Amino acid sequence: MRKRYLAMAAVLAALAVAVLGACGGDEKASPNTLVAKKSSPASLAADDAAWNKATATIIKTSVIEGSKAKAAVDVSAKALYSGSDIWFRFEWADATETAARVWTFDGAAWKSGGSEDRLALYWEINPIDKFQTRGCAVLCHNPDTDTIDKWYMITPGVDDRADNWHWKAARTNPIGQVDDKFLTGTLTDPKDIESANKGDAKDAGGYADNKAADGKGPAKMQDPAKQPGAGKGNLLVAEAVALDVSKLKAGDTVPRELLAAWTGSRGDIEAKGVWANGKWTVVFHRKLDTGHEDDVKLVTGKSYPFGLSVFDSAGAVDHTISEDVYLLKFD
Amino acid sequence: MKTVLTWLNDRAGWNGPIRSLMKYPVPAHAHHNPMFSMGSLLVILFLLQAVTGMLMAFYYDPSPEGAYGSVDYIQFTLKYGWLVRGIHHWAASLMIILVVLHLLRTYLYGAYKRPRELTWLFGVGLFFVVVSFGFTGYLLPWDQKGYWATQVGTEIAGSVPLMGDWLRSVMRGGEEMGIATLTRFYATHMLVLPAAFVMLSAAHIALMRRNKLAPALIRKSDEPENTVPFYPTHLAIEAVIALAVVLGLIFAANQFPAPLDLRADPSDSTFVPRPDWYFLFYFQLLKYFPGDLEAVATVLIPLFFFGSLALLPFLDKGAERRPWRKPITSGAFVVYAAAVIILTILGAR
Amino acid sequence: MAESQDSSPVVNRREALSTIAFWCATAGAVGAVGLPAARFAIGASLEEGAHSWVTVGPVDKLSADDFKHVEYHFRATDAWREVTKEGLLYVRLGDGGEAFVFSATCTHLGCNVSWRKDESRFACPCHKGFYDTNGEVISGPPPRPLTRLETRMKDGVLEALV
Repeated sequence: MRKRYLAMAAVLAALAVAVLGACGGDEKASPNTLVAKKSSPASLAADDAAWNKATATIIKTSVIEGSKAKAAVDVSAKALYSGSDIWFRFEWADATETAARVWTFDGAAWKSGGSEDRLALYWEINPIDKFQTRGCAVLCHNPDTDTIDKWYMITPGVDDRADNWHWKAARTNPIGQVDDKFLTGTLTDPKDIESANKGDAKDAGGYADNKAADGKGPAKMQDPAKQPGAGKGNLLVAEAVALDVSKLKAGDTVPRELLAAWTGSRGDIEAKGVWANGKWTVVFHRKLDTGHEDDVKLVTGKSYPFGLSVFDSAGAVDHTISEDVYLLKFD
Repeated sequence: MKTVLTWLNDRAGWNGPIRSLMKYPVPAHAHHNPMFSMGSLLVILFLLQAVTGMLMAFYYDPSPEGAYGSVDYIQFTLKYGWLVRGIHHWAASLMIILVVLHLLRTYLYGAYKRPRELTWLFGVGLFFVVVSFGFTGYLLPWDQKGYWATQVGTEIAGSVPLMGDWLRSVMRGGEEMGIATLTRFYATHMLVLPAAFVMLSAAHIALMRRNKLAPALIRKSDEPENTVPFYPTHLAIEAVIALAVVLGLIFAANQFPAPLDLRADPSDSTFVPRPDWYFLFYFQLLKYFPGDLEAVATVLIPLFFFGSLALLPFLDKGAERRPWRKPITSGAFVVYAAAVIILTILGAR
Repeated sequence: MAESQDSSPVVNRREALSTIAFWCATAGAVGAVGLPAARFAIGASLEEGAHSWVTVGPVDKLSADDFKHVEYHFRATDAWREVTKEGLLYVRLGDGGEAFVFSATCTHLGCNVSWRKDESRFACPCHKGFYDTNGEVISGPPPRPLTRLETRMKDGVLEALV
């Protein structure tokens, strides 16, 4: 009598082991997967305790051959999510903090200069051919016959849409946001190779050029009576007054852009970036589903391919890119 | 109520047949042992799969262009889609486990011997049908996992000597995987296999009833065993087990959503194809047969496996049924089981 | 003709005729539907698949020791639809300046192999098959070398027949 049950128990145990062994194999996340953990941070602080629960994924980016990007950069990425929101934490090495796009005064005239560090991500809004295996490489129009200065970003299909999250150290970080844009399939202005990349719809806000009518200097400056609300070196639209050269001396700088936070779809993503000890640490926060058609809708349970690029004090094509595609998954 | 039943019985005359079906005497040793309920559970699971499958067919688009989007829609957008698909996904794996347990129980009890050889043969056919359900269903989402597993599976068919190319082409509906592959796998999964399952099960159950369950292995005396009526006594236990299984499946669907990989990409070289867990042992086995020995793993071994199963009642004809008195069959079971388990674990790494 | 011969060993002629008629008619009906049905199920399965010349790329961008990963696609008819067929091939320059174009389909069971530059070999992720830079099998289960594709030059651009 006992032998029968023993035999059955042995069989069941063996099968259980087999099935468990089989299941275990599938669950190992590949190195290109960013697994978001279900936990909400209390704030956008990079050292919030909730981040300790998330597993970091190293996103390897490399220099585009022919570009002026300085060196390959690895970005350590983490993600957390709740029933309605998602947070990302990115950390990467950068020897210098560049967050000043300024007009410099030499006592008589102005010179435009400065740059900023940036981080950008691309997601599919609708399924884009080959994006899930090649990432943002499919969004780059770079035929062998064109030199690098003619390359531009555009989706392969005219009706495709890709969601662009573009964090800028000088132009969006001071007002606590990421520039939320989207990529389309046509150059609306054939002469402007950046015209396929559009800003999301906005109600109000955004940065504006700080340029005098003759284009040779700034039009506005910080109101001396007010402390800069977005920190030293950042000029908010609300705190800008007409330029008064008498208050300035040689060596002084005035930002080239006037900043204002976006409201509406363009301002969907809030961010806080801090540079310290040779490292940028930036936290993004967005609703999983913004309800806007120009954004990627994130649903827990699905996987989302994405690509990432790092700009070290540069713009245009001079950025590193993640050569492999990465996948966002939810635990 | 009684008037309605009397009216129905008068028209259909089914009281007699139903009564004999329901009052069937279940031997005590079967009534007390849950391992004897595997068969009924399999019938219930099949019904569950039929219902969830039919529901999904309201939305599924069997074309390479539309399949993925429709399954994504079912899983993530449709109300309770995650539940219907989740039950279908987990019940499928459970069916494979139960069919193996049922086979093993019958095997170890020697219940395939005279006069039950035919029941066993239909059972082997049913085993093949259940595994085929798994194989054909896996392709339907047209995701990376399903696409590549089918690419490999049809190539395995292609390695059969003489008929290989023909077999592979007919399975694929062409030289390469394409539209005709998906539609024929869908038709087989939805229509051909369910029909086969119903017919084979009906024969299997009818034969089981006619030949009655094999007597208990150990009997205390020579008196005939106690029995309980199928309905309501034995069915009560099976209903409770079925309820537990259904609740378990709902829990599984909720906690472990049915997976959906990325869209199938035939030109991708980064995806690492793996079959579903119940084929992992075979996937591992294939690695050991290089080059010319390929046909050994793709033809000889499966033939040997199913052949030995089918021929079992004719190879083991003796009257002895107790496993501890049958070293060859018991030993064979240990070897097969150990091999499959070890290969599965190795294949999962 | 006697009507009541039910227990005689000689077969009743009417029954015999009925039996023959039943089986012939049934066989006829089953065959009339079944044979075309079987042919229908097979359909175009046994016909050759779609083939096409596809662009590999300009020859001056190829090297002798590193394979270029080329994803190709071409329009073809698949059953009742016109579809874009996709695939993968690898190309490098041979010693004599000729192009070596290999299909990425592993000859074992059809997975796509990947080129490992640092190891100078192709690896198949499915059952650990390995091929060298000439497509020959180094180890593992593949029974044949990688399929080498026919090539031609068209207006200075290399094309391969897939």
